[in-house]
Amino acid sequence: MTTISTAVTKTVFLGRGGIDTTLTVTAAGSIAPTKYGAAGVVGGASPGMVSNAGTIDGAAGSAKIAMNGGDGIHLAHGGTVTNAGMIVGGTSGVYDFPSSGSTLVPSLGGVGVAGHGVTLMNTGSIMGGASSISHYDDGGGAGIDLHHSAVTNLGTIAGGASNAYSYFGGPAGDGADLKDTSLHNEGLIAGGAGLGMGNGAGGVGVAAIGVAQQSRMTVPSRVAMAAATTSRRAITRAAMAAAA
Amino acid sequence: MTLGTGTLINNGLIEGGNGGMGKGYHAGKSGVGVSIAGGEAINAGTITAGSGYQHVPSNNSLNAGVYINGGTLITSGLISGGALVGKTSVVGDAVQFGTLASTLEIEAGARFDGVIVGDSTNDTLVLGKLNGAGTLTGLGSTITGFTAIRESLNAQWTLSGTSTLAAGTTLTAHGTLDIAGALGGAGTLELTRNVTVIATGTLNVAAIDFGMYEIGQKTLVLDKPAEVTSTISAFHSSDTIDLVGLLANGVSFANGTLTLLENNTAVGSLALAGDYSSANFTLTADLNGGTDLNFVPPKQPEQSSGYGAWHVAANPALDSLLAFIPQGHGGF
Repeated sequence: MTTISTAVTKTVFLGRGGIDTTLTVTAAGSIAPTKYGAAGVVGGASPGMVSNAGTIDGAAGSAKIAMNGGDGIHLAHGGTVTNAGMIVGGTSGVYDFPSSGSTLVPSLGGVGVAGHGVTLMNTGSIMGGASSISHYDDGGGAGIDLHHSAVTNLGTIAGGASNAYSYFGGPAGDGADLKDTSLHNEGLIAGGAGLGMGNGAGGVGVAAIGVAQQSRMTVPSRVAMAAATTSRRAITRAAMAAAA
Repeated sequence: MTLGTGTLINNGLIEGGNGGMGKGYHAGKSGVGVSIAGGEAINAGTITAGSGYQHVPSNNSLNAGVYINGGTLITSGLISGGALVGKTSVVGDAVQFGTLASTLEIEAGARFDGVIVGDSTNDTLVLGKLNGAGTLTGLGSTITGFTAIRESLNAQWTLSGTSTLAAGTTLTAHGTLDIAGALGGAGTLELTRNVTVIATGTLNVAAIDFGMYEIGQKTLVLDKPAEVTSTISAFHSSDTIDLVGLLANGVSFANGTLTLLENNTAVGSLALAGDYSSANFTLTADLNGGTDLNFVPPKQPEQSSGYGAWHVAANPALDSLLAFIPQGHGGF
């Protein structure tokens, strides 16, 4: 088991570089990488186990190009996360006017905890990354984005806010994006808010897709923008306009 | 690794985010509280949509507390649609349904701020029994768009206020259903087995169906029998209509109307669909100042064939079906 009780400024990869697959971050510890878009903790090929009483942050996206913020914890191959501290996705990068073309590729805040096959117990706070204070369409990240997982929440899970100083605000992050995942909530789960001057949609509190059901992209337009945020990695200006 | 079963249990607070203000033009949509696409969600806590701005009337920035497009939502908690920023009145729908068949099960104690809107094609509303007896208000006004409304087995529900069943909608009682206010509309009230429907208020749906193939005691208590205009169908053995406060000692059936007589004077009538005769009905005192109406099976001659004998069930509708079965070849 690896224990972190100091400030770490690089991504922690479980099972690599002398780091065990079982990681404990104490109340005095923190992980906050400085590389643009980097995740705080990344799982390896086998399930990892993270116990956090401190702070785990994803890094912000680039301030010069469209780049998503880093996830707080990303376990693609499953594992367990027990959080009594704070986990936050990184702030999105900045998108501005394209030099040519009409398709925008805005960036999003990082997800607080993302993964597949994850058992998550939260008594602390998990937040998606907010969008940067940008001119166009950048959105907030989800608090958690989990597939085939099990979540128990006694604390707070929230999506990242959308911040825009122009009219075209991006969507705020959902509190929890879940697919084929069980959720037991005794605490607070909240979608992010659209802030600033933009028309960003508020995030969904919990967007849950059950077994063998269709994609949320079938949601009709009257609830479309807030509900249709699972695959937001390539949001176009047309989609934003349709939702307004 | 598969851990999830698609089940969501909420005893806490789930809320959508507020929509952006949109710089005074079109504001951003508020966030849905919970969006369900399959699986099962059980809410005993609070689910609410975010708030939104509205700079012009055409800008509907509010979303639903729950949007469900496939799956089941069971709630005994509070579900609230979005509210306008700076105002306390809720404008967004409490529960909104998509095109996929979905089920909303309401348990006693459930509360909704905002309307409940099925899509009028395939959604089901269940009146549950997990929390005991419940009261439903607003059926047909703030609760619309369900093709099937079903009371859970042995549940106890009261419909208060004015309730309406739209055309194509069937309300199936499966326990005890008290119509305390008024229930009307072009839909159908169906009684399944071992059920009691008590209309202490006004009952005027288009049709009341006793369920041709349902076996078991079914009782319809009409506190105001003179005000019932519904057409009653499939009334047969083990069914009872309690005509509260109405004394009758004779009946006459003709042209789909059962006339209730007190010493040969008409004191009320019911519309019955079916091939009945006056001899098919019997009246007894309900021991509470009124009269119980029951069906009397017609005496059928024993049918004999080379394959044994069978007796026709006491049901005019079933009689019609059996007429198509050639005699002497066993039937069923």
